[in-house]
Amino acid sequence: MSLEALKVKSKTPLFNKTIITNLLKRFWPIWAGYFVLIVFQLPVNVLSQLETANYLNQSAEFFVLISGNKTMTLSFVFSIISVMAVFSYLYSSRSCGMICAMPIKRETMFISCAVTGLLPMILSDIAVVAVSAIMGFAQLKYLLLWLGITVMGNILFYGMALLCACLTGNIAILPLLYLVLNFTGSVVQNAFKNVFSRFVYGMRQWGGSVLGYLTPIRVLGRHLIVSEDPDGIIRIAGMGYLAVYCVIGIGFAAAAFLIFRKRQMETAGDIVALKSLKPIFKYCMTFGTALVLAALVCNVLPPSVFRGTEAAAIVLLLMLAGAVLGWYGSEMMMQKSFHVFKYNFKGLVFSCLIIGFAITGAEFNLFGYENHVPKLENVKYAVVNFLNVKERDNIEKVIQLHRGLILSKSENEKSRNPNKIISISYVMNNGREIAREYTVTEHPERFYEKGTTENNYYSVENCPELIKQRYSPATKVTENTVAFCQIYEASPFPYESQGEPAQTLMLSPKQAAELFNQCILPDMEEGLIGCDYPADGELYFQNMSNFRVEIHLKPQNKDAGSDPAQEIWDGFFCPIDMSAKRTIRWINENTDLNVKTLREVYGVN
Amino acid sequence: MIELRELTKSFDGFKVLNGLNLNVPKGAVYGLVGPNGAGKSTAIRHMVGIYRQDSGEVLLDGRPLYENPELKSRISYIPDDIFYFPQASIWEMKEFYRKIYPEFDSQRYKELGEIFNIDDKRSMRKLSKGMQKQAAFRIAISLRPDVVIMDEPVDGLDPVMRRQVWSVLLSDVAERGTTVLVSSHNLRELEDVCDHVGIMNHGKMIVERGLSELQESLVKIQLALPEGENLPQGLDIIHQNTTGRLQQLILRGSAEEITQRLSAAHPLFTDVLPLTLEEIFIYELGGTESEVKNAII
Repeated sequence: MSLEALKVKSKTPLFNKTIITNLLKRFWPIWAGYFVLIVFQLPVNVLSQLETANYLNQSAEFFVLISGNKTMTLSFVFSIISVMAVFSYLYSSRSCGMICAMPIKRETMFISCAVTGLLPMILSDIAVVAVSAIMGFAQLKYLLLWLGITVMGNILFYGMALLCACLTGNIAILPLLYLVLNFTGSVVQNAFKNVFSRFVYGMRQWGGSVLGYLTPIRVLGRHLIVSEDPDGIIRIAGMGYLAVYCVIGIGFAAAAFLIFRKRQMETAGDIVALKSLKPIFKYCMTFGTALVLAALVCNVLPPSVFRGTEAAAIVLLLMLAGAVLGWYGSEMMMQKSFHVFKYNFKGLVFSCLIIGFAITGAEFNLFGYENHVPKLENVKYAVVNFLNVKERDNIEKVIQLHRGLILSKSENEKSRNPNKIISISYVMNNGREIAREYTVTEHPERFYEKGTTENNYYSVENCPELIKQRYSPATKVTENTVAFCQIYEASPFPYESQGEPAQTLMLSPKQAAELFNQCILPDMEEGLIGCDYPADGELYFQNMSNFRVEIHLKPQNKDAGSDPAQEIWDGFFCPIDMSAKRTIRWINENTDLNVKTLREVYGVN
Repeated sequence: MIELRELTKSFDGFKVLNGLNLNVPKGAVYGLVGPNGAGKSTAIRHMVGIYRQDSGEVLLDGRPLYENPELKSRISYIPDDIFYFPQASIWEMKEFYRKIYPEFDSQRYKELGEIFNIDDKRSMRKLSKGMQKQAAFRIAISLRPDVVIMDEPVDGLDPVMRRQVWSVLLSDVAERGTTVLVSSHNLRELEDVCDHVGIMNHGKMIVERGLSELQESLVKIQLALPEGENLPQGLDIIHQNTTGRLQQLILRGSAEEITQRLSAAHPLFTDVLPLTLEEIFIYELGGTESEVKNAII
């Protein structure tokens, strides 16, 4: 036979039909499983919810979109399973040798395998939407929206799985790597905050950072939200996040393609398939293990151990131990041997120096983190213990509180029995967030002492802006909106009998509206009612009356019907401060209730 | 036909191939031999396009082979450890290859069924190693390749089947000018079928010649010299063994030239013996490999 007769077209085809059909034939149960679960997720689940569990009378379209949200988990799981199946040949030298010796270009092979893994999932999605549309239980627009959400989820997670498939040569490592790629952002963020907040004054143990966005399933879980208002309008938030992640998924797939072209086939079975990634893997393992080990041990040790420099020393030791484990652990994984201690340890020394520098730098404030207080003109608004502070004067008070907390670092770090957490965050004009958290021991005697943490804190806490946030009802209080109102004597000792029967007075809706709008509201605007006092009670007993006001407003969820569980509670529920002059005057003038301070009633604190 | 030029390949910093040069002429049956770890399998994986070289060239008919489906479709590769899809039958594997290789000859496959008499419907997984090899040969030969590359091909085959396999391969060589490269430790078998031999060690080619040329380049002589006579100076002796007066010499050079030079020592008895490939392999490696040298001594 002549050589010419043997020539095949040199143009690289995108797909190889034989490879695709072979993969489909061998791994069809995976996609059949996906199809069954998707069928269960959309028509079956939605119809069953409509028929059996829909107490809120929500529409089929609402449940369709909720189901779309839930398919993220299916995409997450089935993407990695599909990729493991279609690229399984890469992980054994035998299969890799057989396939790579065949007259198929790498590009063709990659695209054929990648498409075979993804396409059946997308086709299943389309088929389920088509069936649902024929069944007609939901509008086509919402079914197509479901399809969009599901397909974008497929692409995102499939892209991530593809990238992982090309980075490792070991099929057992592949799902682990996929989990790492999906959750490493959250894990690193939480471990970092957990460890560094032990000794970095003011660092919060919780809260998000940009690293959190590296965990798409978590971000989508939080931001991809479907809601249906009482008028039946369905809203879906977070589609932008999904679209961005979908584009990132495509980017991951493109990166996987480029890596695949460069991949050396002798890496079948290796933990890291790319030579250039081996040092990265080693350093990631070193710093990752250091951080995670420190975080794990820190959580086991009692919090009282962690104060100031002692905490920094403990964390440093833990992280160094973790670094050694990570360094040699990664070497063992790559060399597939326990005899790795002879290998180059300069990198380990370098990593330990970085860890040492980071810990000492953070402890001794070399990076200026602990002292950083933003300028007033750069702050858009502040948040103190979850309440927004937007008025400029009050933001200035927050800054003053923050500065005071920084000055009292030594006292607060030495304190062994902190009893108050002060959380401060600033949202800056450029959108950046600065967040701090301090645990302090409260000294009630400093309440009136200017410049003390207690004075600063309560001047913020008791400013009218925050009081209104704590107590103001969402609905306007009028004669028509009030369901019922009572003024009642409330003991600060709920489980003890106080001898005298408690005084209670029911007010009419008209009286309630008058009391609230003419007395309570103006008092609140002057910061005379709803104030907060230190925990030990002395000041509370001096400043608080023996009465509370409770105004219940009518439910605003008109679709709730007679089911009280579906009502949205709104109202005003607040003890009456002795400083609430208008409110107390109204009670004295319009009722027989005898308003006294708690100290007068109970005589003790 | 197949050319490797200054081929180097390292695995984790260890140079497995170190400037390997190899040349397989068209229509040759080339035996690639070498001790364990010499780099034969690595070289073969370059020749079939699995591995990408660090440097150097892998050429088929003067054209780079890596990522060249057109050239790769002309090569049939039978590895030492055959892979098959776990649930596949022989027929399914054959169908897979038929669709991938444009020149797959179904008629040939059918004909070969008479030699490799295993039921097509049987699952590959359930076959013995030898039967799997037979199935692999049947498919590989049906590809109608220009080049057959085999790594330890007849391991696991019974002697009759070995003969059958070689018979089929050699008839292809004779009829179609197929080029065969075979790596094996069974040197006696290679000696029977190969016309070219390459001996590799430490990732390099030590010797590469036609088998007869190679056999002619080394001479094994038994001789007995009269008392007081010594071997003439200037002989390239690579191995010498003496039992009483009887000496056994392995020398580099042609038999004719060496016997002529030895005649100057008036030997009482001279006998020129043919060298087997195994002996050539051992003595050639003995020149470079101190361990082998010691073993010979």
